[in-house]
Amino acid sequence: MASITLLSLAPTAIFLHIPAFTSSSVVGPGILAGRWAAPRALPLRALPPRRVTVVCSSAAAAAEASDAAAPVEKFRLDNLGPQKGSRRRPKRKGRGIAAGQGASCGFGMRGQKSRSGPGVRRGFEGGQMPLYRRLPKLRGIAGGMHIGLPKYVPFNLKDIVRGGFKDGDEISLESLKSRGLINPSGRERKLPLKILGDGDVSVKLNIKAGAFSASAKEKLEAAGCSLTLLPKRKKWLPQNYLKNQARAEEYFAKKKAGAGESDSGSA
Amino acid sequence: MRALARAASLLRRAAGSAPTTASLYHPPRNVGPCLVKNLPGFFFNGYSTLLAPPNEVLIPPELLSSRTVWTPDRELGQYEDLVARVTNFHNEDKGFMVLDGDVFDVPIRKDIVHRVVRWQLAKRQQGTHSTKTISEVSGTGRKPYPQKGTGKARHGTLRGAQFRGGATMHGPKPRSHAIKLQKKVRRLGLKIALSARTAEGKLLIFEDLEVPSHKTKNIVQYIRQMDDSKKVLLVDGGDIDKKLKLATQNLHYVNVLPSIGLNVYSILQHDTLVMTRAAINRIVERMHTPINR
Repeated sequence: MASITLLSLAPTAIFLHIPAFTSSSVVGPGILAGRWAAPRALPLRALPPRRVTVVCSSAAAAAEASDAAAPVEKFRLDNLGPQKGSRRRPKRKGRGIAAGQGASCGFGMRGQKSRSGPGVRRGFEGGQMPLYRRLPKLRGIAGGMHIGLPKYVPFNLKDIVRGGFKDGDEISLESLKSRGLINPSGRERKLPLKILGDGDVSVKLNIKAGAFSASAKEKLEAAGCSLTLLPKRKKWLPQNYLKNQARAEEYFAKKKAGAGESDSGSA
Repeated sequence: MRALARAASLLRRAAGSAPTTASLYHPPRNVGPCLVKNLPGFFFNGYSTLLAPPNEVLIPPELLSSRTVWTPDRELGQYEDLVARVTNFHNEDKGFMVLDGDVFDVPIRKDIVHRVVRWQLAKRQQGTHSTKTISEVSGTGRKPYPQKGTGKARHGTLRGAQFRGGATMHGPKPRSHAIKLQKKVRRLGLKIALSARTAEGKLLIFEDLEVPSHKTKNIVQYIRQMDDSKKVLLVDGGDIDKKLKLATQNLHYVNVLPSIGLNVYSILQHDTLVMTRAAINRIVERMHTPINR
């Protein structure tokens, strides 16, 4: 706080003749009881002298009470109110035709909206195709969780220069993520990496990815990089299916071996 | 002059707690000596440091007269820190205290206080009123008489709203009347109420609220000596002293509150607010706590 003001305020308002500063506040200069006025802190302002009565005796107090003005408005429970202009009374419909909301209360003469009861349902547009039916259904997540999910996380050759790779470095999902070149988030975290062929490459790298485009493979092999194709995610199959597949393979292997023996026997 | 010197030293000591400088202004001396404190029929409870030394003689009241003097004035609502006099039930000098300007010198806005009071009274409303609907009124749902053939109006039940002993349509049911008010507005309302009492000179700061015993006559004597105080609200810092509670519980014009329960409605109900040093410190600390949202 910049300054301190010594608080000298009157205990009563009946001996004060100072008009109120605001309509909702009460201020009273102090009653001085000594040779000096109260000390006052900075800043000092040149204010005109104001008439203040010092009560020195009961007789003087009684004399002052006779010609005292009406007491200044106090801050009490019975004189509160909202700010002017912040409240307006509601519209009284059906109470006279002077202002236009009398006879039909603003509903006009005829029509569906002049009838009692709930009116038109929300979204109804008078029989024409409403907005919520004119537009197509939601694409994306409304069509299923798999809609819009890509197969791979793409990475182009032109970004190799941006990553600052040198001869002998390795490119994989982990290294690209750690260098901040790709930022898969959410459900894209489980997708494999695919190298695309946009741009040129001039360093020998060890690249491990789930897929390579034809142009990328061509450019990388020309530059002398080693390409490692990571296996795809194993598809989940039910137990019975796997059992049947194993049994079928065993049967066909045995049959093929038997056919080989018969061929050698006939020769 | 000694009284002024003592006031200056007290003011300097009070200002020492807040790191600011203060200079004293000496208005012209045109007032005769006046020993208000020693007058038998008048008790002074405003904010002043110019108390007469005890060794000065008492002047008879008929020799004194009223006189106009100049007094410094201050603008309200400037968020300036105030230095207020600390006293007690016996109107003794107990030093000074600095009141924070952002709590006790807030511009007065009546509409904010009005909203806070309405919010307090609305959420205080119990809302246990209840009427019976047509399904709760005791009685049969039998058709009173046939639909046709009687010449009277058709009726399906005798428990309708137009019948004697019938139900009440759209009557009150138990519900909450609480309305919502932002926390910042509630806090501002309390600041404005405190600033209004400070501006009126109706905020008294006591060192403590110690009473000699649990007798009510002590409190009655103290309140009678307060000038122009019809209803007094005493606010203590923490728990209320048991003696003070017993001394005031039979007085309808003296109420005691801990500082945690200080609210706008109670402040406006009483014309005089008496707070202890501990209470003011707690209120200022609470007003300075950031609002959680």
